[in-house]
Amino acid sequence: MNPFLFFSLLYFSLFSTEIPAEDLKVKCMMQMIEYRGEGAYVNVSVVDQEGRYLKTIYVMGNDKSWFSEMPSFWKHLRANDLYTDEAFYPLIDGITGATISGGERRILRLSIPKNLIKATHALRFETAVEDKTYYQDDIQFSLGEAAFSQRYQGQGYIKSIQFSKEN
Amino acid sequence: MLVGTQRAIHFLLAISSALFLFLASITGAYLGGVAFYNRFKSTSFNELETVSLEETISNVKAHFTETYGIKKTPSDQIIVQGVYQDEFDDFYVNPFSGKPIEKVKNPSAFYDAVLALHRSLFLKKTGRFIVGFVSLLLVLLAFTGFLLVLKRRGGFFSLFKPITENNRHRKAHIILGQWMFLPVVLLGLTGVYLSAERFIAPSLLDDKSTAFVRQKIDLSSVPHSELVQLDFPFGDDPTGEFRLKEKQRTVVFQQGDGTLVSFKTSRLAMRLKAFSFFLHTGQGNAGIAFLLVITVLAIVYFIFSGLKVASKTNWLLLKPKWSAKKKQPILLLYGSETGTTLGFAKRFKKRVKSELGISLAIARLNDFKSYPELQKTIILTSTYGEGEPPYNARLFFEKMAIFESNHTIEFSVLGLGSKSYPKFCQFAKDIQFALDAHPQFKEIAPLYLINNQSEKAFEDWMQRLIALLKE
Repeated sequence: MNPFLFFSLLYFSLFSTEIPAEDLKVKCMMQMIEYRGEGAYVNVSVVDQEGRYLKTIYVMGNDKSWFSEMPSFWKHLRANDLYTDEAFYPLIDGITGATISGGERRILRLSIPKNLIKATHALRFETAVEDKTYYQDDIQFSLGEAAFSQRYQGQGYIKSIQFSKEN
Repeated sequence: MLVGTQRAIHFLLAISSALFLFLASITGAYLGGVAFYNRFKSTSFNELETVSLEETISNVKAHFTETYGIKKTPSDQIIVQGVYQDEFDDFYVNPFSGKPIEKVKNPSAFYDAVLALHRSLFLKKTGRFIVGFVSLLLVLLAFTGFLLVLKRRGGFFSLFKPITENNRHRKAHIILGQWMFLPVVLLGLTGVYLSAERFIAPSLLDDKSTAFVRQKIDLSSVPHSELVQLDFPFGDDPTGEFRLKEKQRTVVFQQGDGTLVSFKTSRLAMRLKAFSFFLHTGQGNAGIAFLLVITVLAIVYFIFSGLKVASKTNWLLLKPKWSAKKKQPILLLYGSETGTTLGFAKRFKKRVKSELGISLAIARLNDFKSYPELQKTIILTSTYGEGEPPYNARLFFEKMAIFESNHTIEFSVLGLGSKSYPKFCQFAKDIQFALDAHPQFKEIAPLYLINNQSEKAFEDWMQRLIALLKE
């Protein structure tokens, strides 16, 4: 083998493999409004400017057949064959199941890949409750600077969210 | 007439809901069993009243790096969400020491599947509606069944007397029916309420703000018994608030001095929901959970025994009734409550046809009417309850009162009954007595009584009658 080729291959295999993206870890306090009804299905995803799902960070809801109550997310799952992909679910940090209902609060721990955190991307909180309105953007905010130092008010079932960064 | 209609309604309700009730009962038995078992887990604690919420919180804080909230399950388990040994999770804790016991695990996929089947038959909203509707049918079944039992037993106070019934499944159906009436109704009604709750106007259910009763909240005075959930202030905000949800109210207060921010009490409809949930699931109460399991097992047996008993009776009763259209000279009249006597009547009719080549007209005692060709009538009847006529013979004496005929009619009565009843074959005796006294009726064979459907006696009676009819 050509020694030049050999070394260049070695070089690339050692140094230019993609470095796994580091995650930003934040705790998120999610307070629900005092609505009545079943527990809310929530998914937290990073989306781009066109609203395409780049990464799903968190899903709340233990029966995935009910994910159809969140039409946008459902479309994404179906289009990318993620619904039947068992490997997809454990990848979502904390498919902890238990939904939370009206007036309840829960602290979520979110891991967001740092390479996705840019002002052109947004973090979307999508919510749905059985027999009630669906909110594609219950909360959606740009992942620019200081994105996690603010408090956000929800449009739907989420009253507000608030973050605290982990050390 | 009324009893027959009631029985038919009971039967139709049962047939239309049996499959769903069976599914709901089997899944319910499993869920009830889990609720029962949960009460005895090492994470459930008794005597929570001996420790204050404040003590529990300060003990918990000593073990956890961070704590976000604390809640109590119906089975008296204390769950803390927080960070313990670098793990962010929900933990069951010991309320006396504050020490974590284990992480909270999600219910198994199997449990979730059974629960979904029980609540919605895997059909989501449609399924929830069906389940709610079937719960309503269950309540109606219990009521029609109980009315039938009362009728059968001859009143409420006779419920405590020993029962006279030879068919073992019918007997068990009746006895279980009288004792399980209340639990079944409660189970059904709470099921209906839990399914229908979503249709109740929100204004009736939302918590209502009330004037502040107290100006400050002191956690040391809050008992564990009332606790549902307590959320701690989030982050480093010194103006952060505690949110305390108790069984009947929700209060928000400031950390530090405990100044009240808001105070809401739950509405009656919401409390009713919580109570229905408690009664329907037995969560947190082993006694109720046990009773629920017994109740659903009883429902499974009702379905089994009901089908068993009904297969002989109701199916027959639902067949189109026979009429005396053909104007045969010999008319067979029957009074049958459960269909047994009708079965005997049909056997006799067949026998006469095969041995003598004579066709008999057949009709219910209620439908009795004279016609010019009528020469003889043979009456087969059972007796119901305390010497009363079977439902399709109730109108017989009224029909007799308007009876008219220009010639004499020959008759013979066969009574079917059980000597375990004090008024053995009383209704057959009443008919015999009435016809004896009637100028237009003439006895051709004496009253014959059969005890406990004796085949030997029935054969004997048939031979006697056939010999008479031959002449």
